[in-house]
Amino acid sequence: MTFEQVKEILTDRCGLPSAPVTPDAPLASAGVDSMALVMLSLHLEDRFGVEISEDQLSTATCVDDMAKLISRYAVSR
Amino acid sequence: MTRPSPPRPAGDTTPTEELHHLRWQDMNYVCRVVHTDPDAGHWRGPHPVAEPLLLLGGALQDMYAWPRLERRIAPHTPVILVDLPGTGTADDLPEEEGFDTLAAAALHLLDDLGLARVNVLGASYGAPIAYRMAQRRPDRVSRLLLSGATHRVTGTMRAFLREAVSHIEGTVPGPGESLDDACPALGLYADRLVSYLVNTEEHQRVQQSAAVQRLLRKQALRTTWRQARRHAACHRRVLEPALLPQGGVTGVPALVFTGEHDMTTSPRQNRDVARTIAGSTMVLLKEADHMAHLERDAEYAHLVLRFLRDEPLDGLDFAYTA
Repeated sequence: MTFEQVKEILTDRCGLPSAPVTPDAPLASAGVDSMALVMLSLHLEDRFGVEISEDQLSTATCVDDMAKLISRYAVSR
Repeated sequence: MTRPSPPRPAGDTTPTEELHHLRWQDMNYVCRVVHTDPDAGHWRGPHPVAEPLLLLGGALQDMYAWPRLERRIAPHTPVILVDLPGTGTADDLPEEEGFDTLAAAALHLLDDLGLARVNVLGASYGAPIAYRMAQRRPDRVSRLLLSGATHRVTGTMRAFLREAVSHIEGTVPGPGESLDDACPALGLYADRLVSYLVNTEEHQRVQQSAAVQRLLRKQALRTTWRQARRHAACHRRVLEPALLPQGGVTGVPALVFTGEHDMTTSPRQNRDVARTIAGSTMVLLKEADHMAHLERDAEYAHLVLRFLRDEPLDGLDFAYTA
């Protein structure tokens, strides 16, 4: 999954403002709160069949790192 | 004691915060002032440009529990979020103390920050505190907003809270466990708590219901022994026979609102509260329940902002005006 795809989900589905969601932004700086992580986790499972919990998503160091993490889970499923 | 914000680059509108450490009646507590104005001092003093919004949240929340609302409101006016005694990082509130003491602590906060007047939003457990502030000191409250308010917790919710208090107070950490370890006895409690805060029967008509249920369940399961005991103390307070003092509120513009599917504090219960506030407006958010601030965060903030700006609340596509 690309950074652009993750950003689209975060802004369109999870209600985050667009500007702070940059590739290098730490999750907190990007506005990724606990509600956004749960919404992202549910969307990834419903829409893409990727099972990755909000706890696992929260280990990402930045938004781009989260996109790579999701990609690894998508490949391994 | 205040921790000031670091210097900000020109044009930076990212919300930032000041932490204020407060003390009242031998109790330490803390508040955050979140704002985007680099001239952070403009809102202090007798003639503020705009009154800040003091947010008094729910029983199981701390001053970091409203990131979505603060992000949407802070660009317009500073948002003050507080760990009153008995919540978050604050000292414990003695068991015999209740909402009167919490309202007095909130008013002391205004004195400490040098604020003549603020807008006050009390949500759920915060509603009886906000109501008392407006009743006692209408001169200090520019506008009163109550979200998820009731005179009295009733029915199965009341029975559940009694049971939860008994359950929490009847258990102790096991050998080798500290008060800061997760309290495993809360497993069943977590599921039932969620079922009382979220209208699971109407989950298909409530936006983001699945996500909110999952978030609340996870938070409940992570509750430590120390937090669980505080929850029990909060539950005891909301079991008081009358959460709101008699006499009503006059002289303060007021908005009472909740989700149309709220079963924790029903629309009827909220309406009964609104009837005690002269000239108040009652609004129901569509496709939301007691957790409307999470389910419809954008609309929740939009409603709050419109009220703070004295803009009409009729005709909003996401709400009913009762």
